[in-house]
Amino acid sequence: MAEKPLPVPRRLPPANGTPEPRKVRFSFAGRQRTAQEGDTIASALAAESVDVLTHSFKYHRPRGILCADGRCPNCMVDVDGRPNVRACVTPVTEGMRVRPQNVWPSMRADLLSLTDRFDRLLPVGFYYKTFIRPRFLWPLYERVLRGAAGLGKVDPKGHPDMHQRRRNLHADVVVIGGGPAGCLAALEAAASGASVVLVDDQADLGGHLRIRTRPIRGDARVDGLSGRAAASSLAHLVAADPRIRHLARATAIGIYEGRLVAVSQGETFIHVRAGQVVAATGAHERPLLFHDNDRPGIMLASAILRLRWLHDVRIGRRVVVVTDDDHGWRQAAELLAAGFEVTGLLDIRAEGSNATSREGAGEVRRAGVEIHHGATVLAARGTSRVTGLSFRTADGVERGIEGDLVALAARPEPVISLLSQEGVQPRWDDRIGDFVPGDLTPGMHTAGHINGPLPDALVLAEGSLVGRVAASAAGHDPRNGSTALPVAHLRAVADALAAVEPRPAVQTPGGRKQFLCVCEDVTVKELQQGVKEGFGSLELMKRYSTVTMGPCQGKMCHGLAARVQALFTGATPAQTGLTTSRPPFQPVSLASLAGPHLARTRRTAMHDRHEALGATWTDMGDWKRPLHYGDVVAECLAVHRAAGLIDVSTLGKLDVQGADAGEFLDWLHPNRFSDLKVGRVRYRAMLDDAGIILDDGAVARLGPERFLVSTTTGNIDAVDQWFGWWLAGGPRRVAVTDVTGQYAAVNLAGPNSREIMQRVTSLDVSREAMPYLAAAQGDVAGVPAIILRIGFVGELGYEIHVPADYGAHLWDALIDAGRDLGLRPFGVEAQRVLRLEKQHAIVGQDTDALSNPIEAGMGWVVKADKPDFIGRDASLVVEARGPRLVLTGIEIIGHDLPAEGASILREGSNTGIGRITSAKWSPMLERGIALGWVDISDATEGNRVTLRLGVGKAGGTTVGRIRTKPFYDPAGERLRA
Amino acid sequence: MSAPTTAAPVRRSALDAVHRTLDGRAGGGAHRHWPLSYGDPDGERRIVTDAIGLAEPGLSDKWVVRGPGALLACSAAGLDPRAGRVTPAPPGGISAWSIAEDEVWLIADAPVPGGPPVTPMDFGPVIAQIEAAGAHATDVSSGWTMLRLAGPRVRDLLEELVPEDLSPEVVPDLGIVQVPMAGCRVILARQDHDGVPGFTLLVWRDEAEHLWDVLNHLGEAYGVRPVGASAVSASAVLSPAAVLSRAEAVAHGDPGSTPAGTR
Repeated sequence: MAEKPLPVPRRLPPANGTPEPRKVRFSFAGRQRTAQEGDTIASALAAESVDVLTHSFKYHRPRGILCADGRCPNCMVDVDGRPNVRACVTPVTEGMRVRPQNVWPSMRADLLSLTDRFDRLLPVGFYYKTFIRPRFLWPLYERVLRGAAGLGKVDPKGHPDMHQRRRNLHADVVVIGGGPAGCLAALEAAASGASVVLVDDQADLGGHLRIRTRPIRGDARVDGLSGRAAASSLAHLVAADPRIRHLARATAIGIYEGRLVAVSQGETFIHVRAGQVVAATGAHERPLLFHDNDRPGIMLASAILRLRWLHDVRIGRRVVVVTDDDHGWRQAAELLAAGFEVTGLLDIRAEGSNATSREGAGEVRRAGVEIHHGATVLAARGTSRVTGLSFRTADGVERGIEGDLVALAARPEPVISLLSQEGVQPRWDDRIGDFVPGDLTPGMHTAGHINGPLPDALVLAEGSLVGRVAASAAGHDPRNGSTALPVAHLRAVADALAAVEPRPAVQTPGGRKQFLCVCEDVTVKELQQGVKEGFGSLELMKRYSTVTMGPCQGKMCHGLAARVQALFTGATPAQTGLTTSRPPFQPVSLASLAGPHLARTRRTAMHDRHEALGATWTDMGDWKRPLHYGDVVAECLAVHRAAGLIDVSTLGKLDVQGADAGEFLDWLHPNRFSDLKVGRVRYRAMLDDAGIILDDGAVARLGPERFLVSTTTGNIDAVDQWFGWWLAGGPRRVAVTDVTGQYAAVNLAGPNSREIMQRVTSLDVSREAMPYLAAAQGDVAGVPAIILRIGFVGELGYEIHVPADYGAHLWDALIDAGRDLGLRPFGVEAQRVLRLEKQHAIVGQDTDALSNPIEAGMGWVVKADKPDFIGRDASLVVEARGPRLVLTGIEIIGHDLPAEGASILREGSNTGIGRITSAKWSPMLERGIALGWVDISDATEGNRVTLRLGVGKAGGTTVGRIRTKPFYDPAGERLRA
Repeated sequence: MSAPTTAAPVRRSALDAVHRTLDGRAGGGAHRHWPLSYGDPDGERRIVTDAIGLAEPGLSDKWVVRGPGALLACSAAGLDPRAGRVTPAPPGGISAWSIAEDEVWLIADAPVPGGPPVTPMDFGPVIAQIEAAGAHATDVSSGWTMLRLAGPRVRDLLEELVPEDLSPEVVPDLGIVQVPMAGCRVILARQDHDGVPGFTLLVWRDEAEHLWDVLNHLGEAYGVRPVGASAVSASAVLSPAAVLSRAEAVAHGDPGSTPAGTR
């Protein structure tokens, strides 16, 4: 275990006059820890001398902080049951429970760390090689492999995270990256009048300046300030500009079509729609290759400085700096300024003529740092934590150098993968030996170190210039009147890049554990073996070895993998190219993508009345409907023997008006409406071009040019769109308005319903004045109403529609009026029973995507004499060939009910002849009844069939008898009463 | 035929149960129930100036005019509609919400509970003129619920729900947009008042409670609180200022105020 406290406290005391930060308590691996307010989990653990935060994915090697910047996988931990949280960028909070990942059963005794010892058994592609035979063992292999693989564990019993938020922002210019170039781009764009969103993944603006003490020059706003002071100054300027919206701790995870920038900010997922995008994503250090280069204590130089300056943690004392660039000399000087002892500087480059003039060289030499040019780092020393390095000098002598930290200070690589996702192809720049953004797509701009290792002055100038150009492109007047970068600047950039010393070839000094990809534990050896096996293409190698496929999305290994692959194939890195970058740039939780749970719920005007009656609810689409009020049998019988009242407000309703409204409805339906008399109702079934039933309902003619069309509950949106689609651009003079919400509706049904109606309206509701299929308008309970003499439940009934604001009033009035007449509210379940007694089909329940009206028993709606209607040709074909399956009633003999979807068999055989679509017990008939699709040859009255019971009763059967007429009141006398 | 013997009709908003739960205070004289306040009119006004107030400003009558030439037909009826804009109502008149050339909403003033009797707006003559000009009108008074969000942080809240840009540059005062919001179709008009940003929302009646809940839930982070109609100034746009004054008088002085929604 790697917890070896150093004798010197790692936490630096607060500066003079600064109050002691508040303490925060949390636990790690079951042990209580103390942090300071403002700490990340990683900085708090580093201060407490915890160097190993987790184990690696494949070999279960101990891993500690590498980047301290949220990019690498080395600090991914489980926080309060949430896996794969990056400890280095996650603020620690009181009571937080942090657990290491990839350890079993514990970090102290991780049995799977044996894989590190037997790595020879796990060569590249070992899955494919090892587990192909014997084939019968694959299920076992799979179980074991699945158990061992994976990153983190999701607790299936955990509570869903309900704190997700979603935001939608709009800006003329979105700047991604809060370093000096990004800040200046934002400030200049805002000064030009543009609205700006500045996205930065750090807590504070300033980028690398926040960990730099050297002064910066090149812009009057920060001239001569130390990097840290300049960062603070830029942050203040941004905060003071009301046109800039700064999103802190926010990562742009993708740029999508139309310059939609997706941003993840903690539990908030943000869509930023941008006029122009400035990518100022900078450049990042990346690892160097040598044996055991993943030991805890081997860190990017910037990570050591980050802990020091941002969290007051000095994670070690004696540092060995390894570099391939002047950048390493600057970082060595910074480490000295930060109070570290730099024991050595190993530069893999030969000593050049400019060795003494390098920035930082003076400080390094003055501090007496042991400097080695042309060094080859061979291996890390130490086991649980680095204690030094073995290296070979330029003249071939193998030596060692001590240090409790190794700072990797390779030249930072431009961060281009976000742009690559957007379609900007990476371009290899021979001058600097790195991939940089290629030709930019419209609306995209770049500024700063993303374009290469530019000097300070050019970074600052470019940020300002690009900000103005982007504002101009977004339609705002730039202060310099230009819409493109000045030629002089472009020339200065070209000159600066030409002067950069090309990056030396990558070193792979040998050893089995030179980790190229720390996410997936892919080593140089494995890549070499892969190339030998024929995987010469980096894209293929990615799939074979999983290099660049881990949670860092290639941030630590993208360029390195291309260079190493090139080394083994003999190609150039330019020829090798990079693997494809895909969103998200940084992992994001599925909960974050899903956003808050805002699924809509629709309630009728009588909702609270049902609630008061103790309704059991059912969801029908978005609607809440009463399934029953506690006694379905009583509800069914009340409708048959007295009266029942059901809320049918959820039925879709369309107000169709216009001189061509009748003809339009004729076109949309197989039957005719243009000849429907005012004050009458007619059934409607709507077909698609293939003659399939889409929806059904009723059409009431309320005036010469006005129809009220009802639809099924779930289909109103689709029907409204269907109507609109057929009207769009056409000459018909028709207006269609969805009035579903305008009308509350009830169905008052049962033999006593007429008498109840007489108590609430002065309209004549007699059979003669308001016969079956009449549509009347008048006051009911003092409210203007539309009354339709129709019914779905087989009894005398009135469907009453009133303005929904009066829905509760109507309900109350009817309940009051019918109390002494046995009126009882009934729910959807009773309605389903009652309609089944009448063999009324429900579209979508008893019909499907193959059902046509002729076979569904409603062939009478198809008026072949009409000149044309949607679905006519298809209907005529069915009519000509005759029905094959028909929807018919089935009386069930016995008490067992078949499940919906259960098979219907020819009696005495196993031959399937159809399926059940609905089955219920009828309290009135005291028997089971059903609807089902049956082969035409078997659908004869009284024919006995075998019914499988289906779901939950597999193997069981019962007997049924075909009934082609309604089970209840087959002549319809009660309905027409 | 014997005369019906039912109680006098009471018009209830889609949020009637919500208002009752919150002990909304309103007059019952007009048989239209929605709250003027929830018991603390001054506090509710402060919410509007400091955070966000969410209110149902009233049960107004609404008609939608649709079909080709809807805008022209409304012009012919003297309503002065302008596409994408709210044309405020003259005193006692009808405001026109012009969604597009082929869709205009006509919204009348809402009578104030407990206030002096207000004659319900007679849309008949206007509708007749519109239909004579070839467009078609439908009464949707009950079909749509009006909500009002007002306060300095209102845009922060709407940014969580609305993909469209609602900045004043894109949606100026009295500008209208149709937006999806928490799964609902919403017609939204910017109606700033006295320097306080505000939006008036029209949502389908049956989705109003859902949207109310969502706005309260997500709005908690911005200090959203339900406020009575007297705390929001939608009437400055939707109806004459006198209506607001009446509402304030009722909220402060009418001893006969009763909880909204009670019979």
